[in-house]
Amino acid sequence: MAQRAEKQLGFFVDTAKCTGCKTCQLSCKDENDLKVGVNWRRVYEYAGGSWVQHQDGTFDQNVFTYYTSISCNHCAKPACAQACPTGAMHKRANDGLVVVNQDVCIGCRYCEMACPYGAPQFDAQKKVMTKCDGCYDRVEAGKMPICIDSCPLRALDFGPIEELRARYGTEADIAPLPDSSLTGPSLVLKANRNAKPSGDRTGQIINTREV
Amino acid sequence: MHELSLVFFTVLAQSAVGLFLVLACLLMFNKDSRRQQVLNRLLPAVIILLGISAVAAVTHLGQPLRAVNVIFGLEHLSPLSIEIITTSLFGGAAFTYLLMVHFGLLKPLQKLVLAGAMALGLALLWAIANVYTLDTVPTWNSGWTTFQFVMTAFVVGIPAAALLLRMQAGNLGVFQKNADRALATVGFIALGLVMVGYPLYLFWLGQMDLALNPLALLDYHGGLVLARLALLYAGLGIWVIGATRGNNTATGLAAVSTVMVLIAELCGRIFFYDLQMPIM
Repeated sequence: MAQRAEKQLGFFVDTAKCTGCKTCQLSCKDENDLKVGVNWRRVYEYAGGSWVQHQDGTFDQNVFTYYTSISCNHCAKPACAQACPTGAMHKRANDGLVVVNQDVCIGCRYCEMACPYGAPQFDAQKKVMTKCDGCYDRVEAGKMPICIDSCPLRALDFGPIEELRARYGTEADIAPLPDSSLTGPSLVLKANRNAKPSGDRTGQIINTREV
Repeated sequence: MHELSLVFFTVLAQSAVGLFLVLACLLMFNKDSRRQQVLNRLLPAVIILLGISAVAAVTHLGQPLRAVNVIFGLEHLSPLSIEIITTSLFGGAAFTYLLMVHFGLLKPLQKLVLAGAMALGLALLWAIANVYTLDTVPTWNSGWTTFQFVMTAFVVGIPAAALLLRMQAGNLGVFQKNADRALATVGFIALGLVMVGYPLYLFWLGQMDLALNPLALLDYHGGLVLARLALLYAGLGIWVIGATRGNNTATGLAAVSTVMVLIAELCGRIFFYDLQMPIM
């Protein structure tokens, strides 16, 4: 757990570009052959605002919405791996990706309770946990994870987190994501113009049945 | 709700610890060997309760045949591994004591093993609470989780012990009456603690800064919480009031009391697991 990975891979998500089309989510499901109900990548639609009627009968509104596409953030302090009673959920030493060893996992679902991002997902047929593995087989073959390559808006990027931070900054605390100090996600976000900070209560996730 | 098996595991394991602690205390402070024999005969109830809870826990696993893998989690101090190992150690120590008593082995060491099992029982209460105090689950991450888990041990363990003693009233004579009165006094304190504690816990939940209102997550929660409190207060109350006023023999009353409190704790635990809401 404590050992530092030689290299840490991570994701960049541009919430200013993302239109919430969910191609990333679907290409992931296709590539990894995921069942209904198992989503390694999820697109959270965060919305809020209200309408005010003026005396002349006209309305003003400050309604907003934006999307955050989140899979697993392959955290520096993964709550799932700390929770895991078997060590099946582990952080790979060579690239920092957090993956499940499905031959060891006992399917107790404790990682699911511990992760604040909803990344570990229980496969009811295999009876073990599954999650985003950063497409490490594709990455080792010199390709990008399928979600990155499929994004029609080019809103996603992937690579060594130090390089992503040098290129895009260090923002990772945008609602509805939790405070990044909890787990140290390997994630960089670009803020939408409507973006609210983590802990914001003026909006809410409105596609709760999808994520 | 996939946590239903965990509801049964946690409530029954805590109840087993509570019952064990009460019976073990009585054994510790009792010199009469015939009474000790009777008390020892009651202890298998603890093993049965713990056994049922262990079966419930295993049914929660996707791959129960791999359960032994939890040993690997000790390497990074997984709270779940610690909990499961502590459960096994507590059950093992209680069972060892029973075997020693049954076969009359190593008489001078029996009390030592009993004391060790009591310490492991307390450790188990802590270990279960430790599993759920996760800093990524704000509705669980507080002393209220520990409070609830410890109180379950007492509010179920005390009337359950009184029930078992009342069933052995013929063999125990005046000792049973005195023990019942003493248990009712401790039960009265436990009742006071939960009567103050649980409303405060609900206030605490209500004032948390969360994306969703934890008291309105599911339609049935209002009824569930009310039923829990009513069953708990009424169940513990009828036995405590009866016993402090001199009714120390009615087995049926103690049985009703124990069952009501057990159902109350199961309801309370369902509510507790439902509070595990995503931060996002």
